[in-house]
Amino acid sequence: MTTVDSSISWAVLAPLPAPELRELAEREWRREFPHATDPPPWDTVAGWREYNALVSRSPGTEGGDRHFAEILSTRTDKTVYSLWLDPERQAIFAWDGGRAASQEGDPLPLAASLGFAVDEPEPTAKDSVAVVEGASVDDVRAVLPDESWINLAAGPSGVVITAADGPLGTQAWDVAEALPDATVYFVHQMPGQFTVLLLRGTEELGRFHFPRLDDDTAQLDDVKGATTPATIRAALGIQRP
Amino acid sequence: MRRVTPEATAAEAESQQPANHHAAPVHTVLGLAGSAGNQAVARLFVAREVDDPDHPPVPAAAPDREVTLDWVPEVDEHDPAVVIAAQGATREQLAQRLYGDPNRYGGFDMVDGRRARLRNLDGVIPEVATAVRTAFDRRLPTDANKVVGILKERLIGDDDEWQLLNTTEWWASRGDLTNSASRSYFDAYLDELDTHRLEEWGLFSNTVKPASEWLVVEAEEKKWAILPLIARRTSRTGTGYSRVTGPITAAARPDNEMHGTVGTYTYFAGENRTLISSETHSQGPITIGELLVTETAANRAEIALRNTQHGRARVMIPGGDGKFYGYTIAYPDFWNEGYVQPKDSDKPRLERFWWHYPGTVFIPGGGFQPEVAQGGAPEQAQRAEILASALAGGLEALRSLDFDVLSALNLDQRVTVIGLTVAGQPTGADYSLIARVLYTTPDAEFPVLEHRLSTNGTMEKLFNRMDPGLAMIGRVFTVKSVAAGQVPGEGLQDVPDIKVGFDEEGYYHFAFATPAKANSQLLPAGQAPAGGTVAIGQERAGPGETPGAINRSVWNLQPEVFRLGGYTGNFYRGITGTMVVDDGPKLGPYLPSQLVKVTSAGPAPETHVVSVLEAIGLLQLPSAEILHQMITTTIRGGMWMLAGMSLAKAFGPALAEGLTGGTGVAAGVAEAAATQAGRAAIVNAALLGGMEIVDSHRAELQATAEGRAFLQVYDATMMIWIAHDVGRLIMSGLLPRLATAADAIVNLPGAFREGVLSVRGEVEALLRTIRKYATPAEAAAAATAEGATVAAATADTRQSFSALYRISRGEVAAERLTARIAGTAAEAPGKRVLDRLSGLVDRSEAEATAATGNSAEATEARAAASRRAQSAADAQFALSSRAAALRPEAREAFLRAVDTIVGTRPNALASMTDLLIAAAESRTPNTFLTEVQTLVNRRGVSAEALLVLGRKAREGATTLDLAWLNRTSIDDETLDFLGRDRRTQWDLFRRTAADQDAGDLMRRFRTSARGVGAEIVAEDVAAGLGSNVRRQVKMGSSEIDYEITVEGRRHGFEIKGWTRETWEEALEAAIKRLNRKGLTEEQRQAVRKIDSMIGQLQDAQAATRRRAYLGFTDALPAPQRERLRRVLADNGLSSTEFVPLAEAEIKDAAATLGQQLGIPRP
Repeated sequence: MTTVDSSISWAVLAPLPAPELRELAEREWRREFPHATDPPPWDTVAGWREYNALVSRSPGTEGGDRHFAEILSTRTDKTVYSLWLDPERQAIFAWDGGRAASQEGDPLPLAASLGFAVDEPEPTAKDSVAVVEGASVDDVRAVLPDESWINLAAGPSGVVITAADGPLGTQAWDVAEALPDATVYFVHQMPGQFTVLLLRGTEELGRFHFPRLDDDTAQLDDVKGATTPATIRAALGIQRP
Repeated sequence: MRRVTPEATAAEAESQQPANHHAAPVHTVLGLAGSAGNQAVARLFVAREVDDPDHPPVPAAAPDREVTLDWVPEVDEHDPAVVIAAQGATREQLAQRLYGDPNRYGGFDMVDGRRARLRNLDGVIPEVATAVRTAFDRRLPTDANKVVGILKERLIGDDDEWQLLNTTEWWASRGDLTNSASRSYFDAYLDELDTHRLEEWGLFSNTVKPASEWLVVEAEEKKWAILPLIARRTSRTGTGYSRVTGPITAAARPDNEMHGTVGTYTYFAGENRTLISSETHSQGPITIGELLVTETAANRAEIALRNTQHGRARVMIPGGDGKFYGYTIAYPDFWNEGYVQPKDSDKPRLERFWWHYPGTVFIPGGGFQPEVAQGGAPEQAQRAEILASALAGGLEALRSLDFDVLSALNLDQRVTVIGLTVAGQPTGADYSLIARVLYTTPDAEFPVLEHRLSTNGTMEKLFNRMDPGLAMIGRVFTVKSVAAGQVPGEGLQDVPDIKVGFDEEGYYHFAFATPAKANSQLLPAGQAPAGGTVAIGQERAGPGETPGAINRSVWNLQPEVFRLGGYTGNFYRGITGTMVVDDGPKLGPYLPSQLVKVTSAGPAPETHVVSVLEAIGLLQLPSAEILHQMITTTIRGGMWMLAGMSLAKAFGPALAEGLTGGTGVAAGVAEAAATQAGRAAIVNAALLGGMEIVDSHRAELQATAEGRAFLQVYDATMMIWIAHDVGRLIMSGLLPRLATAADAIVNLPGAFREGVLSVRGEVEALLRTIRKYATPAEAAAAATAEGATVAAATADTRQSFSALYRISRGEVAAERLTARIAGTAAEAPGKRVLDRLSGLVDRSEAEATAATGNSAEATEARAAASRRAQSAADAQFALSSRAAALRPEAREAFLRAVDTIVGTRPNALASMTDLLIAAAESRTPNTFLTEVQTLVNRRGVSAEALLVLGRKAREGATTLDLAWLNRTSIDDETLDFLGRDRRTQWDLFRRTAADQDAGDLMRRFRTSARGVGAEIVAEDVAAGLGSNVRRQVKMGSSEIDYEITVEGRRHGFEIKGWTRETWEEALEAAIKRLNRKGLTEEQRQAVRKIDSMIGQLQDAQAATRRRAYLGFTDALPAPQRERLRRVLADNGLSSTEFVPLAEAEIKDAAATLGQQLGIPRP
């Protein structure tokens, strides 16, 4: 099933059969360009419930949806929705009987609720751990809000902050700001990237990027003498990320 | 360009149309086919319209698959209850125009292909209702005055009485329609009569009465027809008649009327010959018989009634008690299936009839509705119930099912139903049922159905008999099987040719069909049959079928001649056994879908390509009675005529015409046009336009041997071209034969020439494309999969089949135009334009070929060059086709305008092709070209901007309205900046400039303008950060605003023009999510912006392997930037370089943009 995602500029969702939407698109295309030899630049996307959609994938065409939504909304008693899906232009217009009303909200969940497959990007598999040098577990606990998903433990290089599952939030920065004398190693891993940020107070003292970026002036040559993710983990006394 | 006043233009437009052509818009039917149930109703039409107001074109055969809905139904002035649709409009389209609902059930009845009778005005759009009422209101006083005039006559004779009745009945029958005061028009008619008070002079005193009362008095015995109408269709009482509430029964009536009466009919008997007139006219009651249906809604009652007792005439009458009743008509029997008008002139013959009760729906016996309104879910559910009940009820119940219900059958049920019909002795009703079942079968399912019927003995049983109904079934079978997939013989190679009908010596040619069994094989999906052709032993398995061996029915045909002659001759031949003799060797065995040619014998032979199954129906020896009928009616028609009659009965005249038109091409086209297969077949306007012309001149073409030869190949080719894929067409070998056949007739005199030339052009383009491949098989594979290697080129440079075809098509169209304008004033500019485009195609193809290798750069360069070549070829095609369709002086103006544009920016031709195509394809090409010229005159607008603007212009005015753009005050620099950006929201800008107070337009404009402003500011900043600044560069799956080179290294530079508040909201949400706090709906939406930005920055970093640059307002405070840093770090973007942009400059740039567009500063 074709998904509704941000590669679509606009989508008009109507509780009408997909062939009817296609016919309308073809008719309007003929009206605009009666001598066109190419098919209309709009596609139909089938929903799995009552609604089907007419969509444009051409960027910057927001507004071209109005005409279709207006017509389609006169063919049904139910609301026809016109959605703008560019993340920076998101909008929902609810059309009834040829009249539009702007509606607050996120267009993608609305599309999903009307029976469309929505492309929600898979969350990137990330993991992160912070190691606080120069502070005790109690010191660290004192500056972090009590969150059940945050674990603190004493490690060979300092206090190890981990999340019960997955990555930390902003705890590494929060601790660094709250304990300006401590040094915080924020170790972060995501597919294809391993990064260590060295934080003290509000400053970022340097970072280790693996693989290295060509021109990062703040790039550290090593972390405690270690230059690979595995040796860095060992040097910091952590198992993950 | 010549200037013409609007008045002159209109006059010129009129004068330049052919005499039989309206100024417009006029729609001409190309071909038609309808369908029912789950099959889309599809028709083909050719729309003709006045084009460029400056230079009206020759009415080009510009095909339009869809009749547009920009017409308002026309009211028939003779009967305002009848509305007339645009030519070729479907029932759905008419319903859309009448009610805004294509699936609306009820409301009107189709009178013929275009005219619909409104049952009432409920739900009819005001525009139409007003037009209807205006026409009724205009007629009302005229009719009333005529009636009053008759009533005033001293002597009112029988003819006058009939006139009084007829006029009154006319208004009564339209009494379900109401005027603007919601009063029934029948009431209004009587009210209008009553505005006249008439006085009769008496002996002692005069009598004064309103005209409606005099009407009843003076109608004499006709009043017995008028009074029940007044009683039942008006608000008046005291007529001595009453209406029955609830079901109408056979119980005795308390009023003056015979029980069961629901209508009146008039009839005549005798003869009306000069001087011996014995013709008499009279009237009688229509009475109901059995109560069949009791429902709580009119739609339900009508659907139920339509699907029962199909042979009997029926009426649905609202009971006035909230229920709706359906009855058979007991008397008279004029409308029952099989009724034949008596030959005895003394017997009564039907004249007119009408119904007493408002809301009555009449369903004549034996009629089915292929085009029926779908209705909504309740109607569909009811049909499912009816189907279930009929399946349980057996054959008799099934025979009554209309198309709408039959379309709900599944495959097993179809097999069962057809099997039931052949279990006994099929009747005409059974043949009609089978044809409807076949017709309502979805295309994809049709081959599977055929396999099932051919392996379980059903097909053998069905076609091993003699009945005209078989020809009808065969016709439907041909159309469906060709539409459903490849059929044997579609290349017309070695196709048997069989004669049918009476030859000039009076002998009747036909064929015996004998079934046999053969072992065949169903091939798995994707496995091509040997030789590429379906045949016995290599058939394609349909959806859900298990590949493997099958034992199936096949057919042999033995051509015969029936030496019918005088009595003596017949006697002698009977004795000697030479009455029927073989007319050649036995043919076969064949699959039922095998195509054969059937040629009618006689002085004007016609050849049709049909399936074997259809041929069996057509070629059978008719029974003696039928043979006699054929001899006495037409020597040529034969079974064709009878098949047509059967089809008309089962499918209605319109669909029967579609099914029998040509050899099924039109019908096949109609259905296929709505499918993806149809689209894939590279069907284009020129081809469809050519087909329209050819189809409308069939008779002319059939008149010569060359024409017949052309039609044979043409029909087969077009069936495949339109209905299926080009790969199949290439392998059929039909294309070169069609080219040869077309060349043989193209210089013959006849109006078909333009059509043949169009088709020939398309064939030539395909042939040239095929020649670019090593073998036709490779071309076919490429056309099917868009993946084969181009001959004489490396794998790296291959182009898709469709790309090559477009290039060939442009080439052929240019050659045709060049030949057409040779020696005219248009030659010089036309040649310059076409030469330049041709040069661009060649250069671009060479560049594509030169860009070898598999690197990203080479791939991109190759794709870009291919796009340029295609676009130039498309421009060649569009400009040539449009120019060819224009009148000579308009053509010259058109080509001169294009030439001037091209000459204005000779080095930017590749950037202007889309603008030129948009102009050529528009309604008003020369007006459009004026706008293009205005744009390209702006030297400050770069070629890159012209390219992007051209692409947008091709998507229509709602994407970019060039005329508006040219009238803004936008300066070249800003236009160039915006023009190069594919994401520029031109429509938002246009609408905001036009109506700054509308909705939230201004807010959206400010947001968009701010984004543009930030990018404008960032352009200078980018130039300061590095060199080689490029805009909108693809990196990974993202398009990054700028690419800059810093110290010799590429970087992505993404700009976010968000306000401080927008940043704060988005970052707040992002940080909350990072720390696993719940988000509101608003926050989830806000964080999407951040996610989108992260994706862009990650793509930029990954593509360059260097840190990305992010530009944003310098008004964002430091703490927010720190939050941003954390969010980025969590996504591997900790090294992102922040580039603050001056807030004041962003604001100023946005405001300046607004000003240039006519939008005041905030």
